[in-house]
Amino acid sequence: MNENNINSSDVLFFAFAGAVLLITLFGFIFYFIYSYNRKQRENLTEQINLKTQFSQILLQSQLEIQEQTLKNIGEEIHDNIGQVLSLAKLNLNMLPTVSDEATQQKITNTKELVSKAIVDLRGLSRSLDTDFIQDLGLQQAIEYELDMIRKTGTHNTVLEVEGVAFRFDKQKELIAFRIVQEVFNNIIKHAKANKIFVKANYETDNLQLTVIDNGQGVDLSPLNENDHSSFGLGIRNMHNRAKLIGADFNMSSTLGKGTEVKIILQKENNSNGTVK
Amino acid sequence: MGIKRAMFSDFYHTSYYLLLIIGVFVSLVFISKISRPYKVLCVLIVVTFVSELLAKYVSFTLKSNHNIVYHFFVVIEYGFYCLIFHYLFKNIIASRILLSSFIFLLGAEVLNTIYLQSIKRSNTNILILEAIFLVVCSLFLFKKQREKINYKSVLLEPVFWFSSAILVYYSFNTLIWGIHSMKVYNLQRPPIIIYDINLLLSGMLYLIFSVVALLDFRRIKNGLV
Repeated sequence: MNENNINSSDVLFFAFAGAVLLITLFGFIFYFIYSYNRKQRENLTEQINLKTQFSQILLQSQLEIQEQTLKNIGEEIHDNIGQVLSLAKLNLNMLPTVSDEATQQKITNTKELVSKAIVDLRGLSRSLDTDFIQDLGLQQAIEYELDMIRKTGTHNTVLEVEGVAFRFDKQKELIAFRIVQEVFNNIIKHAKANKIFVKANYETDNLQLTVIDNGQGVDLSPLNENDHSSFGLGIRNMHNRAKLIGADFNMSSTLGKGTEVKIILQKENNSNGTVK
Repeated sequence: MGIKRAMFSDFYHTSYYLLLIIGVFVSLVFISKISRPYKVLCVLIVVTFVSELLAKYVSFTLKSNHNIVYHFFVVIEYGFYCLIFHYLFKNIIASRILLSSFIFLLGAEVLNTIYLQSIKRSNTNILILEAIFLVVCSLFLFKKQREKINYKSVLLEPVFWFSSAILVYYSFNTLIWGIHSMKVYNLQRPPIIIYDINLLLSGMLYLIFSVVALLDFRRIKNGLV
């Protein structure tokens, strides 16, 4: 037994067997890494989906609670405060005519103020009432809201409709309307504008709602830096609501020139089935 | 294992002992800072180094056959591996199977020494048996990893490197000692290259074990355990 007994076929056999084994083992390990990574990606996607689903359900519940609260306030205004004011107006009407012209003028003015309060409250009550908005439809509800704003005398409002209007799911329309209502509120409170222009474009397979004001504009850059102020949160809320109904929400603004908000509502989109 | 050579006599021996010394160094530095299965792994690296020193002592100083050391070392080494797998599997059935396999290997070693490969001969039968057990264990460890997916890269998982190293090294061990036994029983000398490759692979094994210890240390340091 010495090293001379070694022949090249032994070495070749060992080399061949070793190579086969090596290829098999590394093939197995690479396949393991590949399948592990694939499963990891699947898990990650599933986790993201679950998170999205959870946040959508949460948002939907919040919106339902909010709608219920608004409806209650609307009913309270209509049934209680509205009734009280109607009674006050009735009492004012039943007052005998007084000879003092100044006093009579004051009574007449008060009657007009009470009448205006009744009309305004009725409008407010309606804009808070979920059923009323759903029955009216998105376009009519926006028109009604613009009408109310115009009557305050602070803003000129214009609604332009292009194409043939079509209806969406009621729940979807309600959420879209609440977004538009939030945009109007922001314009009234912060924009220092005197014109509100709304364009509803039904010409494509979706509805493009554009709200433009001629106010002071707003700096939107903090939104890109994880801003958690109420300003950022308000816009994020509108964005999340839009996401819930499968709509696109875009906001652009130029300081000193005004702000433009664009909401694109897909006709067939059911937004992951959470809201039809 | 079958040929008497000094520690740093050639490239293969130098590489093996150098990588083993690196493994020992890493083990001694990090043993107190890593989790239990890898602590045992560090102890195993140190025990391996001590057994290699002992084998050289027996061979060169006592001028005796060093195979006696490996007859004991293989069983001790398998015991350490069983303990590591016991901690990694965390399963009562797996632990019982590991204990049974250890008792089986111990019994097989005794019988092998008495009837087949005496204390002066290389115990390749037991080496093959140990390698097969460890390959099976490593495959089950791969299966366990697939059942529990983490959200970070598998390449940063110490258990992945440990199971890969065991799978590759002991699969080759089966081949090497299989060829060795086949040739020895046919009264031919096996090609020397298989021992050299085995030495290189052993060195690589201890290097990867050091990486395993370092990855576990990193994991603990980052609060991921």
